[in-house]
Amino acid sequence: MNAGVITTTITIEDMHCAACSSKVRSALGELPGIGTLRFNPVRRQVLVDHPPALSSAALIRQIERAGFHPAITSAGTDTSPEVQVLLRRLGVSALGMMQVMMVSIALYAGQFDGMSEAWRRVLEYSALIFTIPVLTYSAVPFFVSALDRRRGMSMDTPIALAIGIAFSVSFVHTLKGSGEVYFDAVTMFTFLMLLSRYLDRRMQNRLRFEDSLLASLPATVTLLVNDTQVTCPLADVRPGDRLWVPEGAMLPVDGILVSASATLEEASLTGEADWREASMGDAVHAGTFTRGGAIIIDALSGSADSRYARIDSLANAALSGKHRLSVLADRAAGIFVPTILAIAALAGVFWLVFDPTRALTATLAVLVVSCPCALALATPTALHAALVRLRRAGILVRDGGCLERAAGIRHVRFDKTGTLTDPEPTIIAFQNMGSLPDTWLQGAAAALQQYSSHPLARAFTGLSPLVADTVEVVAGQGVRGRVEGHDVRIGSPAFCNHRSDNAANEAKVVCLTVDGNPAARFHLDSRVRPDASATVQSLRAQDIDVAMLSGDNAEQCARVAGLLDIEWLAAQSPEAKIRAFADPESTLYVGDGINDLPALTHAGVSAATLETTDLVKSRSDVVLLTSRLSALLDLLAISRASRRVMWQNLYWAAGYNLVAIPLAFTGLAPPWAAAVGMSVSSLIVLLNATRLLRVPLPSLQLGKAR
Amino acid sequence: MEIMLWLLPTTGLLTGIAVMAFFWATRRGQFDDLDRHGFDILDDDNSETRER
Repeated sequence: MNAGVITTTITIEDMHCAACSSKVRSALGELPGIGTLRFNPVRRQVLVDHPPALSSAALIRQIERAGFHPAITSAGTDTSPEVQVLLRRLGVSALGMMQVMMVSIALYAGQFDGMSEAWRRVLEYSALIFTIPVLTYSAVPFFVSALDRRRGMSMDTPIALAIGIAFSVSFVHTLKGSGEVYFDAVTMFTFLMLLSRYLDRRMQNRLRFEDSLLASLPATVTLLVNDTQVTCPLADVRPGDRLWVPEGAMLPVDGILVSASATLEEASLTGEADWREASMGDAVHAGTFTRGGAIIIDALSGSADSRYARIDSLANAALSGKHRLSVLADRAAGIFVPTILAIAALAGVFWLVFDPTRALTATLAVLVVSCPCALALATPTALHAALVRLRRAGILVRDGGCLERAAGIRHVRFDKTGTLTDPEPTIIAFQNMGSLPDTWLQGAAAALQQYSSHPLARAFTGLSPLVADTVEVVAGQGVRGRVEGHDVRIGSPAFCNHRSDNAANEAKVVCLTVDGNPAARFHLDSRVRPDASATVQSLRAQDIDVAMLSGDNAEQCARVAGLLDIEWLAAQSPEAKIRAFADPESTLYVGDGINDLPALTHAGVSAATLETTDLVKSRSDVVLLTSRLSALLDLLAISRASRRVMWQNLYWAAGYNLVAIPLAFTGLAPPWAAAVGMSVSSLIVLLNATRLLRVPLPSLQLGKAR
Repeated sequence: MEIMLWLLPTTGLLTGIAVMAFFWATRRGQFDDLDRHGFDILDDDNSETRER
């Protein structure tokens, strides 16, 4: 693998023809550093080699600008040892299944054409021998999980029971030399269950996220003790300690600023991209970055009780609570398994009283016929199909349980910055104040802004830059340098000696000075996402209550809410956002910042946007792998469809058992009927689940309607 | 029919070899990336050799 090159697979559902692919090719070709592009027209995918500095989000945006609907399908490769073991179990079960089937076909033929007793027993023993590795190696995870008491009754219980019962019955029959054997069913069932599990894992593992908030804090800090610098572990910091924090580092604890002034990037806490100027005596928070040079602070908290740490623990507490909610399948298993065992026991007792010779056969018949195969397949197949469909639509879902919750969503809450609006600012107006040509001014601005790490500087990347030299970056203020022999300054009005006319808008204005004279102004703003309005309207049409919760000020919120026509709450702290939920269980929260973490984890379903950090993605149920908000509509549509299919499958499995069990109980069902019933019921459940792969996407309809 | 007494153990042996070959292949990472190599034939650039 080439060092420094990442390969990202992107699916573009509406890339139909060669002309489309060449459009995508030329769009991506405009990005700097882009490597080889490989197109797969059949799967509508493109594999892009790109440097790590170019994020996959940037690729998606570029393709969207060309008018397509792309979604990330995979980033990087999957080499975790756990998946490798699963693959080996799958391989063993596949090879075992083939051998058992071969022997079983000979046995089937023997049933019709006649076969001597001795040969039949030889074949049955051979099937038994080939089944043993499948049972003792491949099927182990099901038994381990079923026997794990901490997990209670889960979907693995009926799977383990089905495999265990079918094998035990066949084993007893083989030793006795009479009665049916079901080794083919045992191996095939194990193979199918492992296959679905393996495909799930491959899909989930493609994207791995850094998942601890506190792990991102520095491990050691520099203390000032009697004006000398001492390095000490983060955990040893106590309130009252004086800390020295270098330029560009993350503040490890909450504190009071001791330095005269500081420029702080608080995006991780507040979600707002603008930098904050703080002066001596102001409160500063852990998790923010220093941008205007090194600063000194007095600690007000240890590392474990800062506001940052509290956000982390709030998020963690909610997460562990969420995973305890059992999913539909597990609840069904909890009812079904004890019932079957009770009926089988009843059959045993009944026949012991009336006809002891038939007791064993009838009990086993009930267990085999009721074979929880259909039930065990009912929900996992539907879930798997729904997850595959969602992945193709550009939505990564972390666990099946949240799909059930998504089907019952009544409220949607959005964060503002970076969620309803584009995460990066764009230039909305340009004002030429001198006599120089527009293109020269824009080129000079772009040339200098290349050197700046300020969030507003990213808005200038779309302009074609001139060449600048002797560039100097003044943190928190602006950039100065020489462009074609002129002294040029770009940055805040104060830095550029511009008269500031409107104090409220100052943060969003970037000024340009050439040779000491004011030359131009750039007005920046973050635009509302192009499909935000249509998405909100469509959600409202489905009778879902939509609102915006933002940490930003009322003026900014009112502007965005006015464009989208939704209700809003401004100046919401991370903790306040939770209190604003009417009914957390049926709420979908969409956010992108670390300040959204408590809200994301408390909501019934949480969705993170593409451009957010790994940390936020790791705490969300759903990650949008596309920058279209309308993907949320797909999420709701597919989750509702999957809930419908799951119930259909469960009803079918229950109905089948209602007919089959009495027949087995009374001893009326011949073995061949039981075998046919078992396979047909499983097949119907499987076919029903595949319907989910063809659910139409509302987001594509949205695109056509406009 | 006595040929079966030879065929069945032979099948077992061959299956064993197949399992061993499969384990060897997974250890070598041959199943880690199933999507990428299908595209290599479309890649015009033959100069770089990928090794893993």
